[in-house]
Amino acid sequence: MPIQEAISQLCSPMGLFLVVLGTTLGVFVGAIPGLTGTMLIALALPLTYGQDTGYAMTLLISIYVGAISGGMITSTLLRMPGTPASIVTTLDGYPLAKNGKPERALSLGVMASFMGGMISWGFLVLLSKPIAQLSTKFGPFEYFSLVMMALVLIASIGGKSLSRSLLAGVLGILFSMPGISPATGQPRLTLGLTALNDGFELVPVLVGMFAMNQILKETTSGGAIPRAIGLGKKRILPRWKDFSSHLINMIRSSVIGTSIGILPGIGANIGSVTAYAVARSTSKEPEKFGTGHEPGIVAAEASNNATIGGALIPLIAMGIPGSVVEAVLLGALVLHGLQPGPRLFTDSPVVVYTIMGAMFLANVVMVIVMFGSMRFLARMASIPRAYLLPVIVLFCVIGSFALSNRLFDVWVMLGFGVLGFLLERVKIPLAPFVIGFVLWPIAETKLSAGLMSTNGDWLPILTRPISATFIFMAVVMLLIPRLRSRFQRKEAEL
Amino acid sequence: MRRVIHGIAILVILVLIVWKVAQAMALLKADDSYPSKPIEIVIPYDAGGGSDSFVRPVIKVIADEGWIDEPFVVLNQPGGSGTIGSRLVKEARPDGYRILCHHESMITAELSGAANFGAADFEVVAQTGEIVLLIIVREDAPYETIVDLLEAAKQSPATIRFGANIGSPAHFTAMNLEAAHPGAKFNLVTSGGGQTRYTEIIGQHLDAGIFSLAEYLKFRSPEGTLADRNIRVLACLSEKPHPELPGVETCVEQGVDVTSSNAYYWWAPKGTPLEVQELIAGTLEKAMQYPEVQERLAEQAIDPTFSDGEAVRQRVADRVTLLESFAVEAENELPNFPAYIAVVALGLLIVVGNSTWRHRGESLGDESVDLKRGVLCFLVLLAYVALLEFTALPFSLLSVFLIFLMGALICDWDRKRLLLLAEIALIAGLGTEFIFGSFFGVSLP
Repeated sequence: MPIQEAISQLCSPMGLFLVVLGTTLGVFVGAIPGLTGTMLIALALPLTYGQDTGYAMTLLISIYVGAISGGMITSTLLRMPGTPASIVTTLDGYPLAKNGKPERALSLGVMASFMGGMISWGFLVLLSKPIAQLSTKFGPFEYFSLVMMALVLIASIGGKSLSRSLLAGVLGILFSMPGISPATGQPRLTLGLTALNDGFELVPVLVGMFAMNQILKETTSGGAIPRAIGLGKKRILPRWKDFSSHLINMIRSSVIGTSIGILPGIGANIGSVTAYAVARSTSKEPEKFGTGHEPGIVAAEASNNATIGGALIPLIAMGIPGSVVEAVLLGALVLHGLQPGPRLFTDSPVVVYTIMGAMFLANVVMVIVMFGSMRFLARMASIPRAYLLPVIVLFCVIGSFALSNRLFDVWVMLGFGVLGFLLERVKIPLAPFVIGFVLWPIAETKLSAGLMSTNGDWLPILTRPISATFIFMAVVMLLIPRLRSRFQRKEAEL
Repeated sequence: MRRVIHGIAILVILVLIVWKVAQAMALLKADDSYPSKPIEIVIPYDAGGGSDSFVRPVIKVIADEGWIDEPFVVLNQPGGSGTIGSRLVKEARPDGYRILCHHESMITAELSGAANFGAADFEVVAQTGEIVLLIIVREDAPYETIVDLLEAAKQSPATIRFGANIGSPAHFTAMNLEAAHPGAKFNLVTSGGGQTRYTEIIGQHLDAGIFSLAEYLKFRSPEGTLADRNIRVLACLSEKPHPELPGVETCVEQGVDVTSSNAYYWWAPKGTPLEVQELIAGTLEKAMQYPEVQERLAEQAIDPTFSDGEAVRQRVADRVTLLESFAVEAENELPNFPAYIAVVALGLLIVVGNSTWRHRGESLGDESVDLKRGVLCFLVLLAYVALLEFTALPFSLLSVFLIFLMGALICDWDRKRLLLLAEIALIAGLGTEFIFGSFFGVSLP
């Protein structure tokens, strides 16, 4: 039985050790402002090359769960989101902590994170297999349309300016093009460099964009880190009353987080913004949100953890990553010779169940680590940068090199670090860039295969029903923000 | 408390230094008869892929049995359809310390234009292991034999969608089949790896495709599965019927004179001494006869054949002559994607530039920026990578300096921090080499 095999692998000393290690690392890194879970996962990926696939995924998933949860600590105590996913937590977490109740804020946050993680885990277990079977109906054109929809989705919702997000996505696509063309097998755009025959590898690009870029930001920022709010001696563990009074909010926010997580391309920050907005609009006292209102913390934390399970569904079922972290996880699966999709359930069921089991265990361990080391974590937030950054730089170099033993990849990492830094200086978001970079090769391969089988006819993109639906949704999403702003302008004129 | 931390740190540093010195001493003792250091086997694909799982059991036996004084070690150099790893070996010194294991893509990559070098730029040392190739259709497909399929491709040319990546050995096999049945024309579709090919055949996005025996055995669902959920072998491309496939005829038996198989070849850089080649070939031959290796290969449905010397040179030459007779051309003109995307990017750039220009004056970021320190740190890092690439200075030594210098720059040479920083630098520099080298098997630059 694959389920038993997965359970026994997870419950072996090595499996448990990796869950605890990954979750703890994730929580700690999430709790240090500036270091994100994406960065940690990108750096941990090379460590898993030599390992068993199940163990590798266990480690990465645990880091993911830990980092999304750990981010709440600095959001609450410093008003600096430890990860982008916990931006919304600052809205109510920080005011509540400032009003002298930091323990209360964190306690609610951990409880909500746990519930969000567990509810979305349930969806993951229930939905991924049916969706995987559905995806055999997807031919090349359907996949292409799905990927296009994902790109538009992240661009239209992800950033403040639609044109900048789209530009970021298209730039990502452009940088994914050098190398052997997926359709014809011919090298292209290699500038005569044979090292570029394989294009830019995912790991150096990600490490450069997220880790190296952050180092550049930290070393150029003049300001010192502000002091965190200290924790008092008050009770940290939540009571039954806290649980029951917030239950409905937690369930609603988790379902919203999961459903947004399933949509390819957008991740935790959108999920938490939406859940927060819904919590406020359904509340009897919406004016209290933003002033340290407890339901605000609960909505934000339940939903950002819930996106994990949601985003894993399209990753496992179709090989389409739901967020940037998922893109790294997809890379990890492919590195270990596995192709997510309908066959994954029959070919490597143990890996699938291990991923699910790891998410469950990591959620439990996360609660223990958070409650157990909360006071220590609060102090971690102010570690001197001089000790931390150089060591991270070393890991950036090793991580990029170890993938294929080439120093060329290290130069690529440095180059993308500078590129990411410059793009952010001119307010071009990085998430659409990475999603474009990861998804385009899939889209191009599928589109080429489709065009080859129809002898160059593009029409099936619009005539096949599933494909047409995706394209229609993409167009609608592209138009909604524009229409809305036009409406608002009209209203303002009136 | 502080003292305890410093004490532990110093202890760890001492242990690491002792380990480093011991390692350096061991290197000095080595003599210069071949082989005097581990022989690197370059696999131009990912760890865990087909080539990788073929090579690993073979070299494990060689290391365990000690047939040769130094072990073979694997170096995965994936990418570029195998051209990145092959180029690394092509440009290596011909001293026998860097050998490539690569299949017939070596030949097809040159013919299709993916690489500007091929089999002639290497010494072929040996051929080990034969991969049986099959033609696969969906269980309920109307074709019973390969002739049915080719006849259909002749009746309505370029409509049968045949999964074969352009430029790959499978593509050449498909062209070989077309040539054997004059008038037949497939619509060749690039469809990615075996996994994708399988899904597309089940979903009826492909009509037929070439699979290896191992892929077929893996993907085939048990008897009784619905006919539109399973796959079937049309014909086997080997010379003789395969024992794993009772009742399946070869193409030749069905009257289409095509045989094709893929095999793993071991290549050395041009000019590698003959005795070195023979030593490696001899070791590989012993390994291929080893029961444990044969068992592992049987699991992967690879036949444990072996040839070396003149036999393998002749075999490669024959394959090159055969494959050369097919001209590769893309079946359909595909759109020029890079150009499309570049135009879109340019358009968006103008839109964004325009809006930025209109909103100029609004500050882009108000945080204080200390560019000087950032640039200094980055220059230190650039110097570090350049030194790694162009000099033979050891990784650990350079890393210690990198960490110390960067840390000192970040804290503005704050004296109180330098001591702890030096300790962190030593532990991280030596420690990463120790941990990655010993536990993860990653060799650092």
